[in-house]
Amino acid sequence: MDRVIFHVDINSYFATMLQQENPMLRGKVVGVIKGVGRSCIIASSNEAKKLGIKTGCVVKDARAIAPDIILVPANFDLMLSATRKLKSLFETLSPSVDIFSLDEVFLDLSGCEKLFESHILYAKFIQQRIKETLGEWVQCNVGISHNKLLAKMAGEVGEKGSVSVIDANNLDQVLSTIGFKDVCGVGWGLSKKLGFLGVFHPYEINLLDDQTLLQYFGPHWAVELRKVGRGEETHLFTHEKKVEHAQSVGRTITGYTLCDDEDQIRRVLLNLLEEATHKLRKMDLVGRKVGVSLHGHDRNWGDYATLKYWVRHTDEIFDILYHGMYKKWQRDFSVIKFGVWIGDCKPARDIPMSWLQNWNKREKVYGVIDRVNDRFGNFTLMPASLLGGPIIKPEVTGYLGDRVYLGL
Amino acid sequence: MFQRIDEKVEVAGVYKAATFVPKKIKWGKKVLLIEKVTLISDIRDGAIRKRMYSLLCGGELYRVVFNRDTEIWILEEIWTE
Repeated sequence: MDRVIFHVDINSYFATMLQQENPMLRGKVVGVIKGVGRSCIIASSNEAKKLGIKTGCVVKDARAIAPDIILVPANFDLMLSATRKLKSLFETLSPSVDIFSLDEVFLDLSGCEKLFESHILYAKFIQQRIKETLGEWVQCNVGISHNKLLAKMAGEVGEKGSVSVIDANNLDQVLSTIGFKDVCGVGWGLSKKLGFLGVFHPYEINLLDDQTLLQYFGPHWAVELRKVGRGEETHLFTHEKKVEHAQSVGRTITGYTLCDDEDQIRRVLLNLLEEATHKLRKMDLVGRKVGVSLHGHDRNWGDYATLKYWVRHTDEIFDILYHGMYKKWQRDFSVIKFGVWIGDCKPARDIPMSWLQNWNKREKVYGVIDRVNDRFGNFTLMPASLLGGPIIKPEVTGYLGDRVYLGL
Repeated sequence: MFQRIDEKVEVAGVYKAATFVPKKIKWGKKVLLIEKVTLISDIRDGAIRKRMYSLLCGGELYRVVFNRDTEIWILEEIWTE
């Protein structure tokens, strides 16, 4: 092997960490929910997965499968702390660490072969170190190959807690048996389309000629699928992820029930915007596009505007979103999901300095607010209209969209 | 389910390999012996750093948070079956 890539994936991360924390949950069917009263399972334990209770399953359906399922609210602080510990650990194990998501990492160990006896032994050493760092209940799969696509694939096909290798000896065999659900980057729609052409395993892509791939999948996917068929790294892994700054900052939340209360909707939008603009300022960005989206039971509404000037202050953006957009909405359905975003972002240092008195005044005020909140905790200072009710605080997501903000 | 408590407690422990290991919790008049530290999580809220200890005492799980700024221990939650 010229390159040596390890893919480390913690098994059922959210549920496993809660089982690690709470031994009473170990070996039991556990469903992680976002909060008490929520109806969607956002992660499930290995025991639950064996019964078919997967991420996205509705609590009612899960209870029909396993009436004794234990529902535990997620603790995002705990997850973020564990991920930070993992990151520090991985940095001691490899010179090149690529955090792929909250619970997945690629370690490039090319040229380090002399530091360890064999790939398998080093993988087992990594598994041991993870147990020492996070706890004895935490298991991980390690996939080893010469590129990221195959290393991840190796991790997917292995048993829980195993070490799997894909090399020249078993490459064709793996590619001709693995399903597309275990191939990173090939989604449900693409695999369905491939199924129409009689292709159910990556190796079978090689039986399609270039013309057919081009005709059915277009110029981009024709090339990418050819790579998948050969077990080569696709754009998903080779694409340079390290952007200099975030392109957009947004925040969404799904409520517990449909909401038709004007004050409540206003409050949620302001709360979400408060968080989004704080992130924007913390990353020292400004944006030119702003938008709002509302989802009901089966309908949705959204609006956005491209401004002729740059914004990053909560009150200014809220005025545009709420008075300029939301107030024009006909309010013809009740809302369950709320979202706000600021796009077309740029570093504040790259825009001409503002001479407007109002901008500079706001900049000073928000600078102070941010410093207080950074020192004493989020939402220590906040708009008065958010007082006296529950505050929606920042959360970490599985795919780590916030990695720039979180410093990961 | 976790039951919210949010009460001040006192914690006694030992230092082992330069790390604090809690051994006892004094909650009101009760003294709880800690059987195992199952997880330690470092939490940040702004610049305030907190350390959450997940502790097994008498077959129950306690989430105790140490505010590293104010040096106050709070019993946040207890897992009851």
